[in-house]
Amino acid sequence: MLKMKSSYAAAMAAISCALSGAALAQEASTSPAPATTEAAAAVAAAPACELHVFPTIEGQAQTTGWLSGFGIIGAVADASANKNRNVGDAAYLKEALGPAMQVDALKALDLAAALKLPASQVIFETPIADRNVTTKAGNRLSASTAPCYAELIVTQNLYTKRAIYGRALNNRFIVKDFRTGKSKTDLQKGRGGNGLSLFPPKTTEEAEGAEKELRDVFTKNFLEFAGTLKAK
Amino acid sequence: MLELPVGTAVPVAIASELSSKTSKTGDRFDVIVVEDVSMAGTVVIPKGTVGHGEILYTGDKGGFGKAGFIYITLRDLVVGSRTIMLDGRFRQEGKNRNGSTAATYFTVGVLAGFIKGDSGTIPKDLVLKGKTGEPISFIPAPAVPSAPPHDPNTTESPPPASMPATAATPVS
Repeated sequence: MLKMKSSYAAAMAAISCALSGAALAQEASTSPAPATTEAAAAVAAAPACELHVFPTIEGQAQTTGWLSGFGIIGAVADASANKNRNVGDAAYLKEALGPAMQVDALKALDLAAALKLPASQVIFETPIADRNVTTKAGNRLSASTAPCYAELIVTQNLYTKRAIYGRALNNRFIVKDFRTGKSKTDLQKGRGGNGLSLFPPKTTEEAEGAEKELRDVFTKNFLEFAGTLKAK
Repeated sequence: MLELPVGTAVPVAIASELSSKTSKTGDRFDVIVVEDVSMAGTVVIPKGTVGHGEILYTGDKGGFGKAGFIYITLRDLVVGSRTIMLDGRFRQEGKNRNGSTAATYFTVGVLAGFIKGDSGTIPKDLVLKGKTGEPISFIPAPAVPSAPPHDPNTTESPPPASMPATAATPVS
């Protein structure tokens, strides 16, 4: 329990560090500059819309082999044979594709344009652990009252390895658009999934390449999801 | 004041062997920085700095040639009186014995169950590529005054060819 608490605290410290960096970057882009007309114009032109992004702290893994093709008994035997591997891969995925890496990957994109929203201030929030809140609540998850407001929530990091199809990373996302002025809105749910070839690494030397691949595939998955959304 | 950015490479060596046979999930281990990490001529993280890592998960070898595996993560470094976050995750899988298992299975059947793979082992002194997990503010050490020109008439020994970079004072 103590160990769990310490690793949770470390994860939260990492998250807050990554998020404070994001917040600082955000602040720098919106805080008033020296009194020049150009700077004043730039401040005046700062987007009034807000896009709040919630990364996830989840990580799941599912490895299935040939046995799963032999009915229920085969599936049970398969799950039992891969139990250790699934727990280990999930723990590794949680660390490798944690909130800090998700924020880092998403910061490199023009999120508002990808989600077909007007130009927005992007604010990275602390992850919410309760799935009932992230996947079901139709209200705003932040305290912001901005009239032009949207949320992007990452709800799943799932690594799968299947006998025929190989390895893949699947992510689920939710977009909530509050530009209609209502206090509750629909949840636009979707997913993205793409293949992996290096993750999870077999040796310590492969770790760097595997994490780079994980980040790239996460980005690809997000863009795949964003491509399915329609502009409002 | 300067700042060493997040993600700066910090090569660290494992202080003792880690194996899927002997290590358990949650165990902590020591790592040692093997190269000075410098910025602007100032050593921010000196060689020999001790840090820690944690075993994320281990699965030991098993029957039918199954290999063991070990997952580890780097956690922190103790620089002076300050503990800073260290980033990096690694996985090592032992060698499986699938070929031998298949051959044995076709010749003597279930006796193949006695064939085991290797444990996942990370040897002592293996150098891993860690990274700083947070920015480190430090006060740059004052520049070392240049030595006066060497007088050939004096018996003083000449200065070393390269002066070591000066140590930094980390700011907590």
